[in-house]
Amino acid sequence: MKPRAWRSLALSSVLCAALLAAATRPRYGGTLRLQMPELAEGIEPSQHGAVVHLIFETLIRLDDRLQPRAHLASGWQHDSSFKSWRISLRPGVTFHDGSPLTAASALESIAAALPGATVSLERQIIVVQSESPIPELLRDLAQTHAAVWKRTAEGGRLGTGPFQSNPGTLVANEAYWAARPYLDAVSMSAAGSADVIAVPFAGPRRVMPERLRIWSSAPHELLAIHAPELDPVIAQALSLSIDRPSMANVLMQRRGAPAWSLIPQWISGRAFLFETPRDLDRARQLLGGMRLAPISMTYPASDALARAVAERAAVNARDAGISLQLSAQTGSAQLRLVRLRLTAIDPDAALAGVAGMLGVAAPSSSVELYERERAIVHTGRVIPLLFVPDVFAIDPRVRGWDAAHRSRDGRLHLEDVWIEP
Amino acid sequence: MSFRSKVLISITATVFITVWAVAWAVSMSIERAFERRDAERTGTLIAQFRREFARRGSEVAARVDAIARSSTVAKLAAHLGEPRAETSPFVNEAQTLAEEHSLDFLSLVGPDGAIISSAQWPARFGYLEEWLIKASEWRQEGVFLKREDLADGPALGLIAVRTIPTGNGLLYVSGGERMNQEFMDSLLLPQGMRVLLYRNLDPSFSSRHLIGRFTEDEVKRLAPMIEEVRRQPHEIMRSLPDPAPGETATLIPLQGRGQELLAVLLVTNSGRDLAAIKAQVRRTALLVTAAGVLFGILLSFWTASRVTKPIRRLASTVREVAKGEWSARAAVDSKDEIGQLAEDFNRMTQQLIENRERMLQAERVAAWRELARRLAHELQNPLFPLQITIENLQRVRESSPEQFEEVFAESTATLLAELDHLKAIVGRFSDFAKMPAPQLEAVRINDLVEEVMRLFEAQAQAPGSVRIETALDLDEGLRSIQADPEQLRRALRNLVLNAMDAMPGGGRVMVRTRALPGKAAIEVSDTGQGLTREECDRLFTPYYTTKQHGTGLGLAIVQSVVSDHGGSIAVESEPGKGATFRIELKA
Repeated sequence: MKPRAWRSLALSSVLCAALLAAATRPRYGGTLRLQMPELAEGIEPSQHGAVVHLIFETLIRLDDRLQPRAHLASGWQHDSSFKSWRISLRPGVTFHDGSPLTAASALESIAAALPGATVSLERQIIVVQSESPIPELLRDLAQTHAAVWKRTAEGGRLGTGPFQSNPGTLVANEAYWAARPYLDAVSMSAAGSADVIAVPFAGPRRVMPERLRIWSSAPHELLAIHAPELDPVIAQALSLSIDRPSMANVLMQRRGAPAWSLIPQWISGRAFLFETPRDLDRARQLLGGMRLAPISMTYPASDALARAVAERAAVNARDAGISLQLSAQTGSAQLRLVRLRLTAIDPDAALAGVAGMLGVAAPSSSVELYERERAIVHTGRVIPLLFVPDVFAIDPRVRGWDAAHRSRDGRLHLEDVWIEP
Repeated sequence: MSFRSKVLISITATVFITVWAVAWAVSMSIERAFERRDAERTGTLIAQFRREFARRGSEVAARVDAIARSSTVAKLAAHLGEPRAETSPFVNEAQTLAEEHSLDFLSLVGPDGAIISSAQWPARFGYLEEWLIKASEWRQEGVFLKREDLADGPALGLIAVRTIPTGNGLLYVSGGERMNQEFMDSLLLPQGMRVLLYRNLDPSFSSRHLIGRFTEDEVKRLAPMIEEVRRQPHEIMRSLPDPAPGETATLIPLQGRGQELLAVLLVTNSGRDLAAIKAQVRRTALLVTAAGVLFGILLSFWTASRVTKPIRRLASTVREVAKGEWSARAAVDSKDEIGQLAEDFNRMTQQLIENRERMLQAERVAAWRELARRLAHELQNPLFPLQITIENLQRVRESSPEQFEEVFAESTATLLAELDHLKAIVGRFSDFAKMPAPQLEAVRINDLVEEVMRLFEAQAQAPGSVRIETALDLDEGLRSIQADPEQLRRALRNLVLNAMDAMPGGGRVMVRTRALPGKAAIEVSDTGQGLTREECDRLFTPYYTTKQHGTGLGLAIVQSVVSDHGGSIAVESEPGKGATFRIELKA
């Protein structure tokens, strides 16, 4: 080959590489149309576990290996007994109204998140003191409930996140301390055309445009029956009568996972220890021919998957001689089908979060995780049914999605997503 | 009841019965004609309902056919032909297809009988529907009723099944409509027809399984009929009880493929028109009957008056004759039977008068003869001693004048005694001829009887006399009556004396008193030889006696006293069994 030819080849390669790099390079601007009915129809973004972190940030975040990393905090110190902590704040951070994040402005929210500790100021240092050791303070501060906020004159709250909330829209925080998000805004709707669509597991069938690709997160929601006042034997018989794999395979089209534990396998690594196959004979044996009165059970009114799961559970329970009377979530009932979003990928924090949402006292953290989980299942009369992932249909124009969601923390990291025109 | 009343009632009853019978016959004839027509109409309506029911079944079958031919089902069938086919992506297809084809029930069932997708109970995926795989020629089965178990309880469906071949067997498409109020409302029914469906979904009757526009009261009345069909499934027709006049209910058992009773269809046909016609006919019949009865009464009144008038006049004449007006004559106004009867009556009356005159003359002659015989008999006895005594005096004066004074004295005593006897006889006849009018006053019969009997007890128990026992049986409830105590005492004395005379060999005299309605009765019984029937008939005739020395006036006086008191006397006797005299007086 002649040198001229070599030069042409080298030039072409450089041009192709440049073009390819230009095609994958993030670009600013544009509005991402997000279709999540629960966000569009009532739940404030600041209240939704998937997007709340876009508005409110925490002092600490856990990395992919669940190790605490400074976020709004710039550093921390603790004494040898873990009873006294000193946390310094990252400089240059501002709230959405432009006011700077200071230790004083963050004090109220931090104190609210740590009710068992004394939170005080020492110039620009937040001091947390407790009579008992709090070695897991950093993990606690990484939870959503420990987000930093500032109270407005109207009684609202302001955050420091990459987006600020407007009705029906998330608008990019131009003064975000890390880097402005690529998107100008995220609009939220319940129907119509969209760039990212939350795919429902049940309910009316939707025809998705063929160009959309399906993306599924790790399971981080738990569908379970909460029966705090149900006879333990009946609760066990009910649990044994339910065919969880069918629910996962059919109702969730194999995207979910059967649940016998509170924390999924990918978080705890111990979920398989709870697995108990359906055993109708054993369920009937436990009931011993008892003539049970119908048991009432509610499910979230607007949750089609929860309704389908509740109906299937009722069908299964009937085989064992248990009659479940279903109703949408109104009034009191003996059983409650709940859908709990795991708020952490740390097993301990996740379990504590589930216990808190169920209103069950979590055993001491000194007990082994499996035992704690087992205790909550039994004492709290919780019958886990399914682990549910988020499934989205994503337009090819949406870029950076997979990289942004590598952490599998169950949150939508829209600050790292951009959209091609 | 008078003859006129009887005639009036008879004619009225005859007219009423005749009119009623005619009205009833006409009414029944008309009603039966209308009932036949109504039954034909009901049959037509039920046939129309059956056609409508069949049409709905055909519609269901057509929709299930359409689903079986749909691309979704074809895709599913093709998918099932693949090895280890995963059916979960089709779990919601039945709901979509059911909505698209307006079906309440739709199940897509795989070759193994497991539900792939169910519209009516989506949560039942994976459960077996074994009844489907037991048959293969479902198209020939047509549309049938089937019990469907749903989450909220059992339901009834009109079901059709179609099969689609796959590589691994048959795909079953089972679809249908729910038999509910909406289904019933959608049926095109003729006017006047109502339909109620009882879904036989529980072992016992339950009103919650009833579908139809009926009131609770109607349902209560229909329930026994439904129970009857549930016990023995067969078509029956019944009239609905009030207040649904004329409405009939036809109950048709609806059975499933296995001949199990799944529902009872009640088709009611309003009989308002028939009921109105029946009511009109009844009203007309009643009016005709009432008019007929009224006419009958008037006709009867006129007829009875006309027919009975000569009879009433004849009866009046008879009453006059009975009262002694022998000159009364019945008017003869016609030559019919009544006129002939009046003529005969007049003739008979005339003959009676003549006979009576003859009898009176004969009786007078007989009475005089009897009186003469009695007088002769009575007078002959004292006259004979008089004659003997006088002849003895004549003979003594001629033959033994020295003894004449002595004999004269004895004869004179005898003559005086016999003359006294003659005077007594004459006195008795004179007394009978001069019976005075009774002087009425309050008299206690029982006291009077006891007083009379005390007189005779002494006589009856006197030594040497015939042994006669006396007995009293007095009614304490007998009140005082208005009577002449002297005459009554005399009459009673005569009866007791008569009784004692009838027992020359002794016996028993019983006197009873009784209080009768408006009357007082006195009975005097003896145990004597009794009387023959002829003697009984003549017993009260003056101067008649059966005794050797009687005047024949005793019982005649008794009868005269009783008669003067407005009473009556009778005798009962048989030969050898004594006699009983019964006096009845006004109380």
